Amino acid sequence: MIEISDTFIFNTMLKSASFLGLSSGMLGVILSYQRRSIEINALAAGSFVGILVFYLLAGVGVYISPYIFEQIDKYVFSFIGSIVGALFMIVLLHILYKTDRLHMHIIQSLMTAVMLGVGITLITYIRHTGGSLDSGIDIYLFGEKTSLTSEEFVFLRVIATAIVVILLLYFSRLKIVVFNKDIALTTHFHTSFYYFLVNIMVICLVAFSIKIMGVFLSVSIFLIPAVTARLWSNRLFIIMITAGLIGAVSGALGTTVSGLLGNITLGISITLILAVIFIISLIISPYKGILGKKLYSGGK
Amino acid sequence: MFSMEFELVLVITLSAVTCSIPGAFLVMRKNYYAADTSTRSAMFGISIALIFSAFLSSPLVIIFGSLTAILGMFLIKKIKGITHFRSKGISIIVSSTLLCLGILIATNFSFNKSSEFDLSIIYLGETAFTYFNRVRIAGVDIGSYAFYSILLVMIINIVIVTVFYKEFKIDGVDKNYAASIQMKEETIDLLLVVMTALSVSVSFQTAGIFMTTAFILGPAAAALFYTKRLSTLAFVSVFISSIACLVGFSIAWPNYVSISGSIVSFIGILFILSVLCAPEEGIIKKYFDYLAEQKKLDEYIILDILNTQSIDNSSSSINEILAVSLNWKVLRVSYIVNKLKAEKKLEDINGKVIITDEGKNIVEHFMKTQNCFH
Repeated sequence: MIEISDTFIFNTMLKSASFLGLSSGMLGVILSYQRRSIEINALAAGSFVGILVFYLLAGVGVYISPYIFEQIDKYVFSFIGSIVGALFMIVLLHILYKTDRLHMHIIQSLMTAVMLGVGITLITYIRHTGGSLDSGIDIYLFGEKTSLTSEEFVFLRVIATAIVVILLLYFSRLKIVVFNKDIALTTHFHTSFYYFLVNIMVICLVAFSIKIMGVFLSVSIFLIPAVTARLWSNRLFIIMITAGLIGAVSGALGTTVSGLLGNITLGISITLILAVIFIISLIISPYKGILGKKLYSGGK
Repeated sequence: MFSMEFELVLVITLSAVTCSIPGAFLVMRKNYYAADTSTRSAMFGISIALIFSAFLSSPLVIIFGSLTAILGMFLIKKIKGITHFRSKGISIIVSSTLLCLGILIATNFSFNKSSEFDLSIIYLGETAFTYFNRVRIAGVDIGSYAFYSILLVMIINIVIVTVFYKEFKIDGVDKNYAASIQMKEETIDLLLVVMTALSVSVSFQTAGIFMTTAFILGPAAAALFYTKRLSTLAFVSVFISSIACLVGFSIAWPNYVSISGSIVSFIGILFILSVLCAPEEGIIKKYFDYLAEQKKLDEYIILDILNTQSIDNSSSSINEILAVSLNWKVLRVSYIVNKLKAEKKLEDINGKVIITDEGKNIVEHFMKTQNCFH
């Protein structure tokens, strides 16, 4: 443990995983009350497709003008691609929500699978044509310890801190928007502004979380802290703070476990630790847990 | 027996049809988390079974995969009974935990060195590999192993659907009526989950466990925009999935890209197109209906004003007076007034615009149907 914690990669990864856990745990509470929790799955798949499309575009750019495009790092393309893909996906989903024939959860889980299909078709196409693709794609499936560059470390910390500050600043307004949209519309403040704010924060966090957690598991760091914190309290502010703390702790623990045992990727270890925390609090939490219910019902 | 292309098309079409049969009932019952959960939790059983056997379509894989898929659904109901949360959030926890455990087992213990597969075949799928695992009876080659296992599950699905069709229909359409005639909802839920789990654990080898969600939900969700009958819904979804398989295979095979990936992409395109431009339920049709309704409402407003009060339009034209009082643009008012004049609902007598008897009848009939005005 001592020799691992000295390394640069482990230190930075520990910090960025706990920053990501803090901010996404707090944001996940709002998302889960808006009933948009599965949408993160679809956004992650969309940004996965965006990364692949920008890889292809980078290849075209090198073919057109090698002097300009070879100087740009390929991580820049992947970062822009992930954000553009998530943006495209959120626009597409909000167009599809307008139909009243289907529940929105069906649309979300269907579009997740469809976007993965598009991504896998693109992967096989790129591999067959022998483009500029190397080991950079397998990172995105389940997360990797060394996936972030040093600029992205700085970006991630700035954005995570900004999201936490924004959530605390606009907390009272966001509470009204989430719980009762009609009151928010009649009391004359910009309801759509808060919707856009939440959407922008989600896009920024998803673009980072698919690098740390992977495409398939990025939903877990948003949702499981929120559900776990719901077991402990009934007040929204306390739920939000608890969810952030659970996310941060599990990010740090997950990085440590994944550093100690070599063959576990980061997304899997963080998800398993979150699940362990959920099971423990399902047993021992007051009022809603198994033990608490037995104690409060007078030993029946 | 046949050529390689024909057998691959047969296998992938069979697996898509097998998945789309329970999908039609899942979409109609709004049981929206079952597909995601059963696909992700089947990974756990599949990876346990692959410790003992190296074949992707062995009976052990089917049994273990469907058992863990049912276990996932059972756990969700159990935790929901304790905490009373919504089942979507709990389903994500259960399914991603089982998925993680499955991947851990698959990377560390499954796939002994004699087998030539790697891990990605479970979650991405490879249709072409199903061809190489042949069934031989007395030395005669009678087709691939995957074909027979998928055919068996499809027959099971069809038998369950035909036997319990009435129960599915009553329970899906009206749950209160189903409860009043003492029909057991849990049994029907269990039947649907068993069908979904069997289809997932048999067709993951062609499409991968994540894309089977699209095979289950996609054709039924697209077919919902074209029909309102349950039996037609099932047939249309089977038709859509087989069309998607043929088109996707014919795109993918000459270009050397992933077969299941292109099929799923085609299903997605069909779904988006049918949400946007279905002939009766599509978003674009609904939007133009809304615009036409607004225009009709504008006509009724002007007719009602002219019906209830007589306007003196000697100083300025009637269009300007109406435009000022309604706070509309003059062009919009004059367009509607000219249209009403052409339809003989208004008439011009000595420079004064008066409502005719026909217009009076129409507006009074309209006001009677609007209950809020009485």
